Amino acid sequence: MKAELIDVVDNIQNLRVLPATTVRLISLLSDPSTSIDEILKVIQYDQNLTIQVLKICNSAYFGLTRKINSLREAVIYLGAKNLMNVVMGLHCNAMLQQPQKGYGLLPGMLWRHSTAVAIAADKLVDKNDKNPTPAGLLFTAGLLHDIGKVILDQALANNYLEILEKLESTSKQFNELEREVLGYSHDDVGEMVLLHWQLPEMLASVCRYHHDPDKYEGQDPQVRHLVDLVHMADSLVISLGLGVGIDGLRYEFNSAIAERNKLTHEKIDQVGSEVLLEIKSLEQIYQE
Amino acid sequence: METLALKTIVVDIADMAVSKDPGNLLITYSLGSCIGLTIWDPVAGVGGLLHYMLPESTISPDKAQHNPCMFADLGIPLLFKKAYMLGADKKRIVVKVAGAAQLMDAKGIFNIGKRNHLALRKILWRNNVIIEKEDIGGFEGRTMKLEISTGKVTIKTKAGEYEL
Repeated sequence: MKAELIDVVDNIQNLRVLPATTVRLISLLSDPSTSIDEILKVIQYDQNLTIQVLKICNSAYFGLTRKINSLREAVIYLGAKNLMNVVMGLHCNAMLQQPQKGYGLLPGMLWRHSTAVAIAADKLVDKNDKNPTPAGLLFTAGLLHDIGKVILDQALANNYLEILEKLESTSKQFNELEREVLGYSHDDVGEMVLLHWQLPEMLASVCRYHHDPDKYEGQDPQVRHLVDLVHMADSLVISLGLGVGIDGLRYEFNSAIAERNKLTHEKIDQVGSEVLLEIKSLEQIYQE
Repeated sequence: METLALKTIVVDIADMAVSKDPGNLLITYSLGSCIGLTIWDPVAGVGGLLHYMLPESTISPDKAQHNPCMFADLGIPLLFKKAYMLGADKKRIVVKVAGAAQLMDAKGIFNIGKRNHLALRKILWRNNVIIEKEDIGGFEGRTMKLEISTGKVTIKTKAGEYEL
């Protein structure tokens, strides 16, 4: 097992770092007081990103009746959430689209799961919240919550039978079994990846606690709220079977979170139906 | 081995397929709390597979119009109707069911699987249709397959594959 732990750390070190533009945009989009001009200043120097932003904005997904040629107009139109999707997509989509054999995920399934969680988290935000979580930050947290699976996949495949045996013989959550067998779980490793990418610590914490919200001992109400939203969104998307692998539904839902966020069956069904339609349209854009 | 020669039709979540081509294999992946419902008429050689996601379309009538297969109350009648159009007869139809898994959730906030299964049973009971076999509940994702030529339904989980 020790050799594998070293592999995990090596795998993280070998991950391509995020481009400076991406890191800068995440911090800008995470701050509600950021102006459009500040965002434009960063994007316009990145030709690849500019092309992508215009392409997505003019795709059938948004169904605009006229073509948008100005970056300013496109950024305003897309808004923080969609912009974050494009920015992170450039760096992470290829990685998330890969099959994860150890986890039993076919090509595209981890992308489908991660993007669905990002969309669901945004839809679960209470519209009357006086201090709303910035949409770009929430979207990024959702998109990256399972990134640790990419790193752990090979180690999981190598220990498949042991994991399978423990799944049958115990009733523990899947991430606890990962820790027992591999030494790390995908949520632990996800936190390490985000820190390696120099993303805000609060995003790394969301990764770490998305299956164990009660273990977060920090005092930051924004982290607490982000963890709640990603925990609910992940639970919904797993229930719907979007990108579910060998871990299946072996995760606990923390009902205290439903209570404090007033989550009802009706809300779950409503958001679930909306998420599925959005994810199917997005899949079309990225396959164009 | 025989399945290698079959043409596979993948049914996505909130979708269905109906066929009377003996060379077809209908398959749906990633059944979580959703339900996979297969119907098959041995005489007409007609089979269908529906993968629905939620019990009631009343939560979103506008979406339901364009996506009836998302919901039990619209998708199930539509599956039967399409099979009848290909020559299936209700008296002969064999019904099999898989899915309705659930998170570890003591208070049942995410009991979508249970609600989906209840909706199915109500609809079938009202229409005097009996479920031949089912594999539901638990914490596992499932893949479900239907061979049109034989009506053979197979369930695959992480641990292996077996005939339902």
